[in-house]
Amino acid sequence: MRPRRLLRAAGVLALSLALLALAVLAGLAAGAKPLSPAAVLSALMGQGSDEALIIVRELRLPRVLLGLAVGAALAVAGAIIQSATRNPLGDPGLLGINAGASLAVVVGAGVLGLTGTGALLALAAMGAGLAALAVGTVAGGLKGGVPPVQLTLAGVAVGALCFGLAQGFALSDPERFDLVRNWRVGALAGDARVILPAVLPAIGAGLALAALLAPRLNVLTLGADRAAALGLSVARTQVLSLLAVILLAGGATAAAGPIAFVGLAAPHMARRLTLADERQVLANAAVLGAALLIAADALGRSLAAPSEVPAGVVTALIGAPVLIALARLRWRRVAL
Amino acid sequence: MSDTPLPRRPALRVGGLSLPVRPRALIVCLALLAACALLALAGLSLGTLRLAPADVLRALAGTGGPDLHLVVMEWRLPRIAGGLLVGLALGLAGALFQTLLRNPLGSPDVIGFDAGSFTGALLVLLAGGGPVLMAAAAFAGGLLAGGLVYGCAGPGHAQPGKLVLIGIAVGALFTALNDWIIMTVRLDAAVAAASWKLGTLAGMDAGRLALGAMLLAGILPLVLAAARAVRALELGPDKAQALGLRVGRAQLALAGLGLLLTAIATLLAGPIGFVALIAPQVARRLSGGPGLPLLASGLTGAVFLMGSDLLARTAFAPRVLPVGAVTAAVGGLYFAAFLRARLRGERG
Repeated sequence: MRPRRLLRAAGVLALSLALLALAVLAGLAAGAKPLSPAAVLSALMGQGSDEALIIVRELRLPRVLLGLAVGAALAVAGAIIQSATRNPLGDPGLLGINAGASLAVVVGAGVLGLTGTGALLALAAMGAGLAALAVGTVAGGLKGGVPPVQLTLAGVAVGALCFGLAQGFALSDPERFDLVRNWRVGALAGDARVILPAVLPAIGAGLALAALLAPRLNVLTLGADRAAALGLSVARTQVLSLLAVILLAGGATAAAGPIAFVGLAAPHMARRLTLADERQVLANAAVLGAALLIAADALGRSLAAPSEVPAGVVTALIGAPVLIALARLRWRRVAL
Repeated sequence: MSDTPLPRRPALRVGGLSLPVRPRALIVCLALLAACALLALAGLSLGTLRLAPADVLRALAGTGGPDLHLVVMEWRLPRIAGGLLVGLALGLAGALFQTLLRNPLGSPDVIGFDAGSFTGALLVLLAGGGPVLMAAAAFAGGLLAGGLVYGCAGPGHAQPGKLVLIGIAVGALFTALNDWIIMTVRLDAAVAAASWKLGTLAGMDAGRLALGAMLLAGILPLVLAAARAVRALELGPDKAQALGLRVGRAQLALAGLGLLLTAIATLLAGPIGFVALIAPQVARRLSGGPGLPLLASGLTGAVFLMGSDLLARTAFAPRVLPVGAVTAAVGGLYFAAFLRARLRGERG
């Protein structure tokens, strides 16, 4: 990379990281008992009142870290879908992949009685994979070149199917329903200290795979034919992309329930900031996705304090206008 | 010049009025009506307490004794009647909007109109308002969602795909809002409201049912009278105008009727998915005409919903699923197959 480009890339990443730092600060400060930024910083250093120490380090920090992992996973999954299918509307939530993972978890937990986090994670990944395959089959092939609206519609169909089934199972038993009530919309309300270690391997593997794939995705964005002419093994790249998406979306959904629109909005923000280089897009999308989800969660906790609005609801309220804007702006390239 | 007369088409003629009747469409409507009656009878007989059809008929005639009366007339009939009304309203609304947007996906459940309706109804429910206020709020919510979709899609709806996409986003917005509202209320209210949110025919409120029936009875003639405008609009706005239709006014009137039907269905059963999407498509295949048949769409919607409800009540008995879960499962499969066939057709 030429020095000026390198400098610019570093500057953009620094900006994204600064946004993430702000979001983390907000996530640690907001809640039923708001703290000042100074109190948060001193609590992080291990100083301040016992109460502030407990709130920041034991209650809020694990939750913020969970948001970090889930947000980054969703954003990178969305970015990979977008470039591997050359489709600006790629989002694991919009495409029904999160709903598939959610259905698998509800069935596993409710019907089969599985409770171990590892088992649920495996179920979520399996559900995500099946949903992704189903969407690809309905849309007419995983090879890309499927017009965005068609892929989105196939995703909406599969998502509605999974969502309806999951709801049916959950609502047929109201006592169990309260357990799933917060989970099915997508929230960071679970016990992060249990959930995070369980899903981190899957999400970490997905992120590592994504980092390895980024140069290949750069070639793939030229189109499958040109990429093949340039010597890229297109099929293998697509299978690996799918694997990364399954790991990331499955892990994120197992941890926080189905959250939509983070995977749509964060990569688009990253694309606006960076040059057309998937390595930079993926890196910035991960940072911005984490920032977005942590900020949405902080907003949800302060909007209705002392009760809270689930992060999945806040991301939908923020993300739906993004989808509308994309439909309006990019319409010439997005035709049914 | 040969002098062959035009083939004389069967028509219903009353004085100077003449309404063409296609025999196949008529037969399909009659068959659908019969299916509705059969499903109603099955719905009234089946359940935790199984009744013989003869007993059901005696209860309906009022000669069955108090126990039979309680089970059939007070427990089961409201649910069956609700299924019929809601299915009819959804099927008709789907046919109207799909014709207006000239896209099979332009159905009120896909583009967020029923989610908007539900926001209105939900707010009034939680504030403790009566059925009339709830119906008005449901209509207002649908109107708001519709205005948002049309407003964001911008002038000239030549690209229905764009409108559908924006509708999906608006639907997600209102669904998130509904989730938020349900999450913030108490648990007992939340379970009822969450069931309602997914679409259920259980616990059909007598006041709402009566209001819905009256509204539907008032609207149905208007919808059927609009059939001519619907036929013309199927050809596209330009040709419809050439045929002498005031296109803008007709579109506005049909959209208003469609939103009213959506509001009635949402008021009674919550936002039930896939009925409005699928019923018109199935009805068109059944009656074999070029466009979406209105009456047959409504009846197909009723058959689909009543059948789904029967399945929801009996499949996992004694557990009762919300009917919306069944329509989503059945409808999602059909929709996926439909989409796949359509996309293949476009490519090949």
